[in-house]
Amino acid sequence: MIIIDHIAKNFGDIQAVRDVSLEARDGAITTLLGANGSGKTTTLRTVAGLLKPSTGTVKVDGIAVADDPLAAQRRLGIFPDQFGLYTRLTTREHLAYYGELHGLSGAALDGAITDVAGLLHMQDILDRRTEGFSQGQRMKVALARAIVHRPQNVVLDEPTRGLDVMSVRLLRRILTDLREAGHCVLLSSHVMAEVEILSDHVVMMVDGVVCAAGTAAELVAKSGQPNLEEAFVHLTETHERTAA
Amino acid sequence: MNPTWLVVLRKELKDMVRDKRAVLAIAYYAFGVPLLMAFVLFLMSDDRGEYDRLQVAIVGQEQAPGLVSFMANAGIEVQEAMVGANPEKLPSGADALVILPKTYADDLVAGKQVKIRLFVDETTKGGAKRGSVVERTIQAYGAQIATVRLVNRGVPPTLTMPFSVVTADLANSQFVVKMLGYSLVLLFMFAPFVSGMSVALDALAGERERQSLQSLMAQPVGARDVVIGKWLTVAIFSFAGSSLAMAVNLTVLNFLPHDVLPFPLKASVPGLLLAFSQMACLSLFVSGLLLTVSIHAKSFKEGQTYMSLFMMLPVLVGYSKMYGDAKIPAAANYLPIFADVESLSRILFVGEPSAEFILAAMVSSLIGAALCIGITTRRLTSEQLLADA
Repeated sequence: MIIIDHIAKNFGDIQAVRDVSLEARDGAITTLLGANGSGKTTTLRTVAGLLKPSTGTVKVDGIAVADDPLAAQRRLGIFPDQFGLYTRLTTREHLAYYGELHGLSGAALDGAITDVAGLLHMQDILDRRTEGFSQGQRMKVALARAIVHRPQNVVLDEPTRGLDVMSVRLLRRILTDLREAGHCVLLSSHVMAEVEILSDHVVMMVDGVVCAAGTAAELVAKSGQPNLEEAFVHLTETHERTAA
Repeated sequence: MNPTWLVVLRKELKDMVRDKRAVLAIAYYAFGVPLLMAFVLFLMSDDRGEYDRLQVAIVGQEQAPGLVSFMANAGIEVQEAMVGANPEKLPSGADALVILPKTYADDLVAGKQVKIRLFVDETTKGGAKRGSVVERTIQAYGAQIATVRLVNRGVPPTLTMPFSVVTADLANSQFVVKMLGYSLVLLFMFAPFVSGMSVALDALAGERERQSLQSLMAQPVGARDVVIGKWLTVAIFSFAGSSLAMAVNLTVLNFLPHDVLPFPLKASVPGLLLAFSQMACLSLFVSGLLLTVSIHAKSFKEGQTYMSLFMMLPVLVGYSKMYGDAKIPAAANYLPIFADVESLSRILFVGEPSAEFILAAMVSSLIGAALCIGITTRRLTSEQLLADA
């Protein structure tokens, strides 16, 4: 479980996040929904321990990230907005590297690699160097890398960006499987259809604050709009008018 | 469970060994530099050999056994020549041609002035020098004859020669040797920079460029472990490259004829072991420096620009030692690279390792490496860097 409690983050004069609170439960997919620049990535980076919030706290399974980032990171699987693969390493070597950083070794590591390769149907690329991989193959490696150590909490920053339909469908299935297995899944997105299909809980963000939260159906009903996209536009504009 | 720095080290080694740039840098330096040195020594050997290989062709040498003997004593080889009265080129293999008149012996006995014709080829600096040596030798022989004549007539020769000037050419024996010696050591100083540069750039600037740094730092691994793992990777490449360069160069130089080698190689086995230990410490320091530069670059290309400026450091130190050793404050000789140049020179050319400079080189390198690791680690935890990564 990930609990974000009134965090704010500024870079000099730039206020990237003003006030964000949310609770991402185990066995559920929680989505940060917002436009570009709304503070989604900064929020997720504070969860990952890459940034320290100026105020507020982030807890992963009860561990305060700011106090013990390494302990919190051991409970997390991070799928960043950029895949950042090492082109001279094979898929297996990527998975082994990240698995070892999480303390896996020997038979446990080999077993974890075999399992995740089976889960993502990537046996055919397991021993190939990642140079020249398609975007879908790169996504698979990055996702496998994030979950090879079977983390309780998985954080994904705009995971479907740049993927084709088949890759998106595969990703959806994996995330749904993770939810069914009782994992906490926290992701960010601005693709309405994806959010609507996947999310158990949607947190709408605008200008670094949470403007609305609930299930997709609840948000649509609350806004009085016909669908989630219209609801998003209505709720964010209402918030901006109120803030002004 | 392996320590995380070891996990990082193993991954980096696996990754970098497959990087053609990193491997080629080592191969080029280790095997390309000896070729460069061989070329320089080839050029040098031409100048140095002028006294040993000086050959003079003499027309009419049967009339001048004294002159021939005098030249032989001066280290000049004399050969008989058969040429016309107005030669257009020197006989094959000869550095100068001397034509004695047919009346040489008679004129000498009669006390007359003998007109000797000397032909030289001043196309090259070396040729001009050789001609000058032959002329001086003939003049010296003439002076000897004059001295004998004066003594026979009861006149002390010192009356006509108030000065006796003895000239010693320091260039060949000291400055040039010192310069060439420092040049060789400077090549060794460059080796860890050249061998580790590509690896260091890929290790941090490369991580930023491919945007893998953020993902790495989101794993449960401390910044210090990441830096130590990467630092040791760079150090292994730096040390491998510099050791190979040193081994290949010294082996090649050892096989060269001693009269071609402008400086004496006097390194003993224990001395060489000390030299390699010293290079290991220097590699640790240089690797730290390279990583510190690398982390300030957002891309490999930007890093290359910084590195090209940074490579001036060993050049500056090398030239300071070569041309301005006396002007360098004494304390500077205990800094890394300065102390390394001094210590390696003593090990290789004097054959007497200096404990003072070896210790200074090793300790200052290790302190420098620790400082660099501290700076790089601090920079790696910078939120600004991770936000941009």
